[in-house]
Amino acid sequence: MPDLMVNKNEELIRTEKLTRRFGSKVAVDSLDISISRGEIVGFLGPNGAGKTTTLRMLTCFLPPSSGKAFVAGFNCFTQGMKVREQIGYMPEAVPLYPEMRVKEYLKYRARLKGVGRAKIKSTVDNIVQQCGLADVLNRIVGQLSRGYRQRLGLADALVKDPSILVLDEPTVGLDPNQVRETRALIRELGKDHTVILSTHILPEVEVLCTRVLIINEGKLVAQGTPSELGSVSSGKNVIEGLLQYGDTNQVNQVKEVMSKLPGEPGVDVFEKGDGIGFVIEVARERDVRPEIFKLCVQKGWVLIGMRQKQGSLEDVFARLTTSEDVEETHDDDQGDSSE
Amino acid sequence: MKKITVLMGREVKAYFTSPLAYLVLTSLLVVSGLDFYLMVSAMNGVEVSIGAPFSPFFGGFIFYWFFMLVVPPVLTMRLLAEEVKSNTIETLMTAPVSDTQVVLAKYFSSLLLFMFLWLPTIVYVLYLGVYTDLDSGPILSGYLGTMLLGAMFLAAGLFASSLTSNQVVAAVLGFTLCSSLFSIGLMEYLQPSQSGVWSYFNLHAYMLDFGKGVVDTRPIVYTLSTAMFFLFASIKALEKRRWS
Repeated sequence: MPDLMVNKNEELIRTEKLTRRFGSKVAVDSLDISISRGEIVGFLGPNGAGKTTTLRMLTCFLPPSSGKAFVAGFNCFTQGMKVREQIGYMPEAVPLYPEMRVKEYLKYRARLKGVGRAKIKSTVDNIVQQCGLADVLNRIVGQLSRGYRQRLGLADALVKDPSILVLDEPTVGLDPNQVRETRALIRELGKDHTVILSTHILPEVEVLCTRVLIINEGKLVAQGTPSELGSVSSGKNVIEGLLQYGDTNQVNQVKEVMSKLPGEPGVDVFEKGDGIGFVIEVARERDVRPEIFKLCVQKGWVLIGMRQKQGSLEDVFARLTTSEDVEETHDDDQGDSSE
Repeated sequence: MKKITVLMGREVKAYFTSPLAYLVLTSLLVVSGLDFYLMVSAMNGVEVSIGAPFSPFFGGFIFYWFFMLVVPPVLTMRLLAEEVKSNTIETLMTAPVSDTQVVLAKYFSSLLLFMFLWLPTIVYVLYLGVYTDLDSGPILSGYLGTMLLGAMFLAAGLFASSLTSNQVVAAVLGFTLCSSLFSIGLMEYLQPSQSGVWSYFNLHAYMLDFGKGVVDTRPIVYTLSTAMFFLFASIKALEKRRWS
């Protein structure tokens, strides 16, 4: 889609101090976010962090208590119909009408979203192709497996070819194969749609998203690309390695020698299977791997493996979202209650 | 308007994919069959009713009221409560449709079904018509009155459904609303001194009039304005759900 490339930095979604209260509980607290065309943005946060509530406000299902949200330049509160036409939304747990048939449901949703009568057939056929629903076209929705339900939900979100896709926990409850398929589909869709997805599964955002927004207790606590966020996680480089087993004294020897590496590293050496494992922590800016290799050659040790661990998103997530009162955020009467 | 017809299409289909429509249809046929039997027996008796043989069929018998008060809440209980319960309200209300369109579509689909339910009773009219001359006026006005009452009760039932996510609660609440609307009018018989006021609400008397072929504007205004009130309240209840 070349025309999308041109407008790549055009801002599609913007919120200004977006706030939502349920009674005295603040579910979303002065959220300021901005999402550009073509991004795949991951909304990351623990259960009850306000992800679903935020998505519901962006899709005009819930009005904000205060603040504003704009989608494609339209105000979510005052121009709800225009906003809804821009967005394809798949709510959490994919609510569907159980008594309808798959094809019938897609036709109904397409008509409801304003696809003209003449175009219904081709639209539905396309979407069925794209989401792999051809095998279940005449099945009753209530009897579909979890994976097909998810696909149908996605097909529904896509049916009017919206510019923005909003997916709330798209891979929850799927088996690993289905998760992989769904992610592949989302990545494919990300090529010509702006995608916002919420999740509490970390690897998901790492493999899917171009940008991550971490929210906790209704507040934006961090944002950036997955690798940007990963690199701020800790101040240390961690190197793990394995040596071929020599003699019983070697463990102490290795420990002693490695401790003398530049940068006063923390060293841990231990027997591991039929080898000797070591973990070395040094300051972030230092890469001691060449030194370790030279040292091994010099001492005549056989180095079997060595790798430097990247700071993971998991660390950031844990650091940013853990606090004493995190328990409180778990019940959210309107938000993530189905989890 | 197009959106409303799309929504109505789904609602009407949903009635027929569940046992509900068939159950209600059967019960109406049993009840109206009984009414018809009683009516014909009465005509064979000593006191032959004069002029409007179908008057008891519309409102004269207790069975008619039993049906009219129970069936509308049963038809409407599902409409909004189920959407909320299964959370399909979220996919529905994030599609480009307004609260008003949703409420009206659901209301008119229940009204359509209600009209459909009465369709088979025309057989009785045709059947009796073979044996005797019938005046079509009172019969048409009887059906008109039934539809007006149905329009009002269905709106009340829809309002009940908008207040809860539990269908049984919606049905009981709807029945309570409908029977309250019915009972208020009966005060005319209990308080003859104030009968002037109560008579405006007397659905029983209205239906007896309709059955005799009397088409008054008062019942038309009363039922339709009450229906509109409940529809407005349903729209507000649907909006309110999001604010709370």
